[in-house]
Amino acid sequence: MSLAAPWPGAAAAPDGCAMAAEQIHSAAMDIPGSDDETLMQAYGAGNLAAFEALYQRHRAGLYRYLLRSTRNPHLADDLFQETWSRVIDARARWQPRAKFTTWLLQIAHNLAIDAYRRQPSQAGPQETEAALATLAAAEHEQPEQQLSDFQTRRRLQRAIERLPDEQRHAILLRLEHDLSLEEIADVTGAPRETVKSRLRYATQRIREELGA
Amino acid sequence: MTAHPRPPYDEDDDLDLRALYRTLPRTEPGPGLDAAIHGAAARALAADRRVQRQHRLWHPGWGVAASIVLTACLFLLTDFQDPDVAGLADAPPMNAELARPPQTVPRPAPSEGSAARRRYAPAPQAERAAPMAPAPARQFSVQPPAPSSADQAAAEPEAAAPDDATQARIDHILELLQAGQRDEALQALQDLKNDDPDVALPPELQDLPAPE
Repeated sequence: MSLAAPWPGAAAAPDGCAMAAEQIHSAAMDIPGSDDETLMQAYGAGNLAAFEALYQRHRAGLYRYLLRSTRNPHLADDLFQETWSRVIDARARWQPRAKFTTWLLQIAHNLAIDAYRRQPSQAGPQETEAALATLAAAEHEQPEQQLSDFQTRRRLQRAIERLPDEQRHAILLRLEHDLSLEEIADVTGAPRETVKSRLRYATQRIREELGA
Repeated sequence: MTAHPRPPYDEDDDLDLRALYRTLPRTEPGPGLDAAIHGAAARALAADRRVQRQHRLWHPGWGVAASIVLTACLFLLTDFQDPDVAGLADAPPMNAELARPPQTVPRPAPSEGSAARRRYAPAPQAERAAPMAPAPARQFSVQPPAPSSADQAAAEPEAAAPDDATQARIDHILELLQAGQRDEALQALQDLKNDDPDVALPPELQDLPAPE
């Protein structure tokens, strides 16, 4: 399967890092066409518009990853803000050694792991039900179809929430961000084969939940 | 306990799950969270600009340049004003006359008057400067060399040369001889030898006999 980049130019990010310094410092740089690494360097050079573009690209995906990993909206908000604070703090010394997405998710993942250690169980039934209540059905679907799809999505959400932490992290990185095995291994710090095993178990459990 | 088979994990196996996952609600961070992160990013850049302005007021390069100029000035002043340091290696060859040690003239025995004069006269320059003179300079004030044999030979006849009166008496004796007054010349010669036994006589008078 080909890994489609979630935004144009992201897949070629490491090669696109060789942007001239004057282009990074220029306020008239092509922000929409620039890759994440260039935007991060531009922000480190003082370009606030570059950060806003970077934030717009990753805010939703990162937030969903944290929300579904922690199953706690308040904790997700805190971790989301802390993740971006660390990005901001690293603006001057950041070097494009890896993809920006991988680095960003590494920060979020490590913060989530630390939060688990401090507070092992954050998922409350009320919060889970509130999250499930947001599952709105499309208006064009028939009532029976709506009910079926709603139940399927609800089962999927519950199946993800019931996964062990490591498996949930791995499958969320896969489903939310379309990361490869190697990229998930980089983010989580686990060996590739371990990630492969976690994904296999997670996929199997979700299918069992959906087929129940 | 039933042993579950482990199917090999294929990255394309979760295509249907990924499609289903995209139907889940696209939860996003709230506007308050967005505003907080934007504010943090903007404040960070403002802080960077303040630091850059402070650095611009007193750039480290100015300090380096000032140090270089100061060092160069010190070197120049040292080369032109310090005789102990100035160009020892490339000094011109020393003149033989200048290299000769100063000759000390023997002073005459101080008389009463001269001693009194010296008591009230200002000290000579050399004596006043003596305490200020560096110690190594004294090494060059050695005794004058011993006079050579040629000088001694020149000094001896000069010491026995007849004075004007003696020379006049010799001339008178020679005139008496030339005038044929031999007895009177012999008598005058005898008188001269009696008065000055060490008188240096010319050759024509040395062989004359004593008067009868």
